[in-house]
Amino acid sequence: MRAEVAIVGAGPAGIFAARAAARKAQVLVLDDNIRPGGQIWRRNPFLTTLPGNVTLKTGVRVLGPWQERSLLLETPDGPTILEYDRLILATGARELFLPFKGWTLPNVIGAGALQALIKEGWNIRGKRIVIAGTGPLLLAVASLARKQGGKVLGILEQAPAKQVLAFACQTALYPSKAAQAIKLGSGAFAIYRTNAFVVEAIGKDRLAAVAYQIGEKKYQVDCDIAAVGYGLVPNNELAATLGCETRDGYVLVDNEQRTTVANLFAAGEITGIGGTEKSMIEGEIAGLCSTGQPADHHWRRRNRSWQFVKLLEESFRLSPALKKLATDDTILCRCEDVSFGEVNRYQNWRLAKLQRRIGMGPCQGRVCGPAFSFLCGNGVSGSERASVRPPVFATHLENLIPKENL
Amino acid sequence: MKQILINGNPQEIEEGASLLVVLLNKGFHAQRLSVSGAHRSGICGMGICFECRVTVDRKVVRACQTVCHEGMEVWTDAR
Repeated sequence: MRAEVAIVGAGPAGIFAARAAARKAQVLVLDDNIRPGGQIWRRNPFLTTLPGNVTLKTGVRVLGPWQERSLLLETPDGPTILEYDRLILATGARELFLPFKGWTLPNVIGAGALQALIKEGWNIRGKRIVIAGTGPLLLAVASLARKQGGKVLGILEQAPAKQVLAFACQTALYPSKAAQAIKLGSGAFAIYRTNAFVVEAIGKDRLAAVAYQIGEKKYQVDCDIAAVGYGLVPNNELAATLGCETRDGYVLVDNEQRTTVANLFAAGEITGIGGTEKSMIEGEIAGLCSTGQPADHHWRRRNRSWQFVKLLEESFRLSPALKKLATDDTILCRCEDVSFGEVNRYQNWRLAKLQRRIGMGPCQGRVCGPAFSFLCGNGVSGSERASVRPPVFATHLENLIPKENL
Repeated sequence: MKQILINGNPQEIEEGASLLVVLLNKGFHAQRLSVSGAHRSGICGMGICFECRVTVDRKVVRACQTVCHEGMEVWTDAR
C-alpha cells in the first residue's frame, strides 16, 4: 500500500485532516474500529463522509514502524506494509480506569464504553445504571442512556461542587458548548452529585449493586450497569514507537501540528484532551500543513480550543481520595490478575513490571499503566509509561510477516 | 436476519453488528475467564482493554472490533 498522506484514526481529528489534505493529495485513512467516527461520531455516517480521493480502511491496526516512512499493518486480509510521504497521527484517547473493589465484575464498564456500546446497539432499555467518574462526558453518557430507555439512578462526579460550577460558568463562554451543557445539565440536575464516587461494585458473577460515597456519607444501590470513567488518557503508543517527543504523555507539536519527527504530524486528543472542537481544528491544520497549504488563519481558533484543555484539566483534577479506593487485594492489572498489594511498594512501573508481570498481558498496560502512575507513581496518570516497543498492539505471530503485494 | 453459532448454539443476528453488542444483548455478560478464572467482560468498548476477547473461527479476537457475519463460530470463556 502507498499513500501521499496517511492518517491513523478516523475520529474528528482524522476526518478533518483527511478532508483538508485531500484538496492537494491522495489520502489514506486507517482505523482499527469497525466503523469510522472515533468515539464521538461513532455510527454517524453524515459527519464522517469523506471526499472521493480519500480511501478509508477500517478494521486495520498499525503494529508499528517498518522502515523509513513505512508502517506494518494488520488488516482483515492479513499483514501488509504501508509506505507514506506524510503521516498524521490522530489516535485519540482512551478512558482512565481507576481500580476499586469489585471493578472487574462484568457490567462494570467505562463511561465512554457505555456510550460507545449504546451507539453500537446495546439494548439497555429498563436497565438500572449508575454513571460515575469525572468530566462532562458523564452528562453526555447519562443523556444518551436515558434516551435509549435506561434508568439512570445517579451521576457521581468526583470533583467538588465549586470546581464543577466554575467549569459550567467558564463553559458558558463557548457558545456551542453552552447550548449543549444546558441541554445535558437540565435533564440530569436531580441525580447529579459532586464530590461523589463509587467505592465498590458488588455481585457474584456480574454486577448487582454499587456502594458509593457522597462526601463522607456512604450509600448502596442495586443496579445492572455501572459506567465509571475518570477522564481520558492519550493513545500515544504509536507516536512513542515512532520517536515523537511527549510531555506528560501528550505528543508535542508546533503551530503546524508537526511532531518532533520529520514528516510526522499529530492532531486531536493525543496532543491534549480538549474534545471535538479542538480535534477538528487541529486535524484541519495538520491536513493543510502536511500538504503545503497555509493554515495560519486557523491558529486563533486552535489556540482558543487550548484554553478549554486547561479548563478541563483544572476543573476535573482527580481527588487524592480516589487513591484509597484500591485495597491490597484489588486487581490492578486485569490481563495478568496482578493485585494492587503486589505492586504498591514499587514507585517505578518498569520495576513493578519486571517483578510482578503487571502490564505484560494483551492490553500491554493500556489500562493498568495510567492507573499505576496515579496510584503509585508521580500522580500524573499516563505520564510515565517508559518504553513502548512494537508491535504496538498484541497480535498473532503470523501478522509480523507481511504479504508482499496486498 | 443471519445466523451465527455462539458456543455451539445457533443465534440470529443483524448483519454488520458488533459481536460484543450481540453477546451483551443475548445475555453473555462475561466473554472470557481471567488467568485466575474470574468472569470478565469488555470495559472499554473500543479495542483497548482486550477484556472482551473471544474465539471466532478458531482465532482469538476482540469482540468489540469484530463484525458479525453469516456462519461465524464464536466461543466465549477462553482464557
